[in-house]
Amino acid sequence: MSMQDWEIVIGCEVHCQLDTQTKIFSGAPTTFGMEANTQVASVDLGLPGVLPVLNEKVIGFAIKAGLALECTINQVNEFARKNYFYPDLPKGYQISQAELPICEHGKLDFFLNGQSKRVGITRIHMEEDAGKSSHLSGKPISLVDLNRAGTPLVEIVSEPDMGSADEVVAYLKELRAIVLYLGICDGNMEEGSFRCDANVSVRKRGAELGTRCELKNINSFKFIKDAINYEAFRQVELIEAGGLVRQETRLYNPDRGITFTMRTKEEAHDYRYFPDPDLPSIVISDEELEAIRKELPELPAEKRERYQSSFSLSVYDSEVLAADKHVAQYFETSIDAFSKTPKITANWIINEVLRETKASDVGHFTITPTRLAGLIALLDDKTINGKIAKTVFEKMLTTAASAEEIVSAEGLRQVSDSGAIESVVDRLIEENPDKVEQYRAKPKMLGWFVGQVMKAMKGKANPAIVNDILVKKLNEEPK
Amino acid sequence: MDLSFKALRRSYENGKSVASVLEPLQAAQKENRHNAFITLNAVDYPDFDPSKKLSGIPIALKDNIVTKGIRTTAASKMLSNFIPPYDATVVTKLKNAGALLVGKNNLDEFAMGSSNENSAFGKVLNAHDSAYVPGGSSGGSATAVAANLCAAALGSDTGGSIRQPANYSGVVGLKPTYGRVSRYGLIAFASSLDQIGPLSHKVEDAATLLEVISGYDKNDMTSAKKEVPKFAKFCEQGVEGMRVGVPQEYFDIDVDNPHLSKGVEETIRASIVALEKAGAIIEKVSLPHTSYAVATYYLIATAESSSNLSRFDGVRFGHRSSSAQTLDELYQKSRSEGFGEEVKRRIMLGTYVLSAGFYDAYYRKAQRVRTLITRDFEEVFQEVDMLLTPVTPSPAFRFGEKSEDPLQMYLEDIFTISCNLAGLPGMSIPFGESEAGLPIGVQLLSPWWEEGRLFQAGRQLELSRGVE
Amino acid sequence: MIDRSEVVKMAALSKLELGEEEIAHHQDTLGQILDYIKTLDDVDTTGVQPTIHPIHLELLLREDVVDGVLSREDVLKNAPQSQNGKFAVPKMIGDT
Ligand SMILES: [Mg+2]
Ligand SMILES: [Zn+2]
Repeated sequence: MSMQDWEIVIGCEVHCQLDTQTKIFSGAPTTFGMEANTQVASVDLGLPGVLPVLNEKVIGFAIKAGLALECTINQVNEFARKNYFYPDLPKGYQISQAELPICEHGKLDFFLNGQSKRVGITRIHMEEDAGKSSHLSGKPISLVDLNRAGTPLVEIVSEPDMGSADEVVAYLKELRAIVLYLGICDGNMEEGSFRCDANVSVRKRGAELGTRCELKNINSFKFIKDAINYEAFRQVELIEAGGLVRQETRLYNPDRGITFTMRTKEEAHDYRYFPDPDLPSIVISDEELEAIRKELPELPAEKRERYQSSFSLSVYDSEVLAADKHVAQYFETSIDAFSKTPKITANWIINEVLRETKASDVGHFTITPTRLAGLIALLDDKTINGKIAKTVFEKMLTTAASAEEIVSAEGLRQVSDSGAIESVVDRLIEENPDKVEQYRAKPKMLGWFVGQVMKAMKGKANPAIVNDILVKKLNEEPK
Repeated sequence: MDLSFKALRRSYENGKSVASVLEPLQAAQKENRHNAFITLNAVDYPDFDPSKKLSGIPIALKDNIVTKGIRTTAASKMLSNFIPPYDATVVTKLKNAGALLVGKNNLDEFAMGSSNENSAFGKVLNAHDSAYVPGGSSGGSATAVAANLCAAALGSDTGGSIRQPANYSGVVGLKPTYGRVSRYGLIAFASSLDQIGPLSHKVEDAATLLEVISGYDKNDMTSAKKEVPKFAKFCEQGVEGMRVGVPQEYFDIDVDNPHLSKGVEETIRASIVALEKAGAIIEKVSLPHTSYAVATYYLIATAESSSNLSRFDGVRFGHRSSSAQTLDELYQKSRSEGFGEEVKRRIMLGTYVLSAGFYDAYYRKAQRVRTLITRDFEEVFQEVDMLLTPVTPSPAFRFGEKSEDPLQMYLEDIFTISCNLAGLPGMSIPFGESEAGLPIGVQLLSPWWEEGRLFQAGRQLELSRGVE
Repeated sequence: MIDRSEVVKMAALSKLELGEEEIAHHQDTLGQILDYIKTLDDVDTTGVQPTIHPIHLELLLREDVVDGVLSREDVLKNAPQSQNGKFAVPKMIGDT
């Protein structure tokens, strides 16, 4: 069989936990990792007689997501009940949105391997999270913890516009960056704050859409990629063997690298959605909408564009810098402090800073953006050369001193005095007539001479001047 | 003993102790001859506090109103051991006003019924004749008041569940405007219809109680931020010049609907005469969608209740079957054992009308008709200040008379149901008697938020009957 | 009129276990009620907006401030079965 003959079609449903202090309909805290059933109010428990009261933060957060994804905002929308029984669903229904979600008809553009790609956003709706169940080993019992029940979510539903696992991962990374930029979600995939369900189907190139399977709750980019690739392969293999894909929900087992059936369509529910009579319609005025629009930060796509047009950065560099809002912030602060050589600053951040720290932690990195700017300024005015700069950077990791202070204290200033360099070069030529001979035949030998000069001058020589003098002297006719 | 608020207050002011008032009542409550109470509350006897509106006033609560630390059953086996960790907002307000919460009243299970025959704790007997139903679903509350076991009670009204038993039991029953009283802590039957309200001996007591329990509640997004008037004041205002509409559809009802009994017709006629004598202007009006109210109501109420009652699954509280092996069995057996027949019927009906393929034809359609029913009232209230109607087509019926025919039972609600669909306030006031000596009331309906007018006219009706 | 199979389906969706007699009884009474409800077919509701709430409700939101957390003891107090501070149920299907 050949995957080449097949097309994969993927749409995603992403659940983002909103970064609020309390739950969507109760005052219980949303803190992760607390002792079971200690973050629960009577509303989250679904006690008889309780009523949901909407958290003021949630509507604004959902609208921000909608605006960032260029959605139409439904200024009148409503909560609906999705009815089904499950032990982690206390009321026997989930408060969600159905016919009238808060946002619809958006899109998300992103880059994959330098290519631009667009994915349609079907809708974004607000809803409550369920509790968590676990299992008592060796016993036919499940245990339910309601700490997570009622945590506010937005569910972002995409069109089936993706054709590969790589596209899905790129889409999700971009989406995750956006919700982080917006400050509405902490994006933590391990803790489940940002989780993806992927609807995967395959078809012969150009043919009708195939039957899809839903892969549920995959909690890392790597697993998403592996799960989709496995699932597409499974479906193709099944069809080519004469089988039929069953519409079902599947889970991914990362240890075995396979997907497996969770429930089939026949067991699917009739959710009996209807508007929740306990909650008023959500009405958003033009003024409120405008106020939220004004609060929107510059988003990754806009940043990428600006970095390219204003700083002449490459597509790749601007992508890396804009992918995480902390990195972008770091870059921009550094540029504010020293604006002459943005390309050099970008290189230093991408190659050095991000080697020392995780992107999300860059805000707490010992070498603050201003300190980095100080180092780059010294490089730019030729006080130090690139090699020394790396030494200074290493030293900056363990001290609070500025680059300037380190250079002065340790005598690392670059030597640009051509007299001093010339005398080192003269001695070198004199002591190594054989190498000079070799150079004549093989000009690449210049590198050896540069190395020797730098070594003799403890790396502090201005490499451009060293180069000029060496070329001049080595090419002189022997005396 | 006269258990009206004024009489009780006078006794306390004259030095009578709370204990001396309460002890005989508690003895009678304990005897529970009419099975009006499910649970009695051990109240201590505080000193009378004149600064509190309801100081020393013994009040009972329908047992679908949640009380912290006191068993709350909704008259269901499902909740026979349920001890809530919180108080309903109305309970907090009553406590703050100094009321003595004496116990929890029997009702139709989850407030689903019109006769109080659907209680897991046994039927309630009509205080006037124990062969007759007390009405429902607030039958225990109406009976507790009618049998003089408390000064007043709170019930809940989804389709007439306060007004109808008040009517059958000869007490005053008020259903406030939707949103007037917080539903927080009322075990939901149908969220867009439910409203808590008072049952009392006197109109003025209903007004006083409404004053205490009303107001916006941050725990209920369907409660309205509306100022609460001094309702008791309206009792002194009379009805001079008030335009009272009599909807024709309530009198010439079609073949599907039960005919008005002679006693009811005579009572209505007498009440019209009484109000006219007091200066009211009587006008014939029309509410053309009246005959669709019952169908509309049973679609909306059952749909909402099927969802509201899903939380009773045997996982976090309530009855759990001891024979369940699998998760599905846990749900099915717990719910089947915990719920009575009428509750199951309504859950099934509600599930049906919301299910795929039926939603638009049933539920959505009912919501649209609901709009038309509401519009009828909007138009009529352009012409008149209030409406006067029968509460039910006939007085209390005998046990078993309708319990085998749910549809006939539902049709009894024809006059009380529109009020809930439109969210209007309505009150039932005793005014006549049947040949068998059972009480018959009249219903007054006013525009949204105008409960004051109900007290004006209600008090006038009392005066014309010589009630002090 | 309602089919027996529909009654069975509604019972399953509602998580109710009904005996044969109950099914027959519900088929009978639900059928009557649904027939009665057909009277609504006579009402022309073209262009009529559905009513969800009987009164206009202002949207008054809750501040995002912690409030009303129950003690774990209160959370579990009414639970028919609990273990390790969690609610216990027969093992869920479809989970690993
Ligand atoms: Mg989904
Ligand atoms: Zn969802």
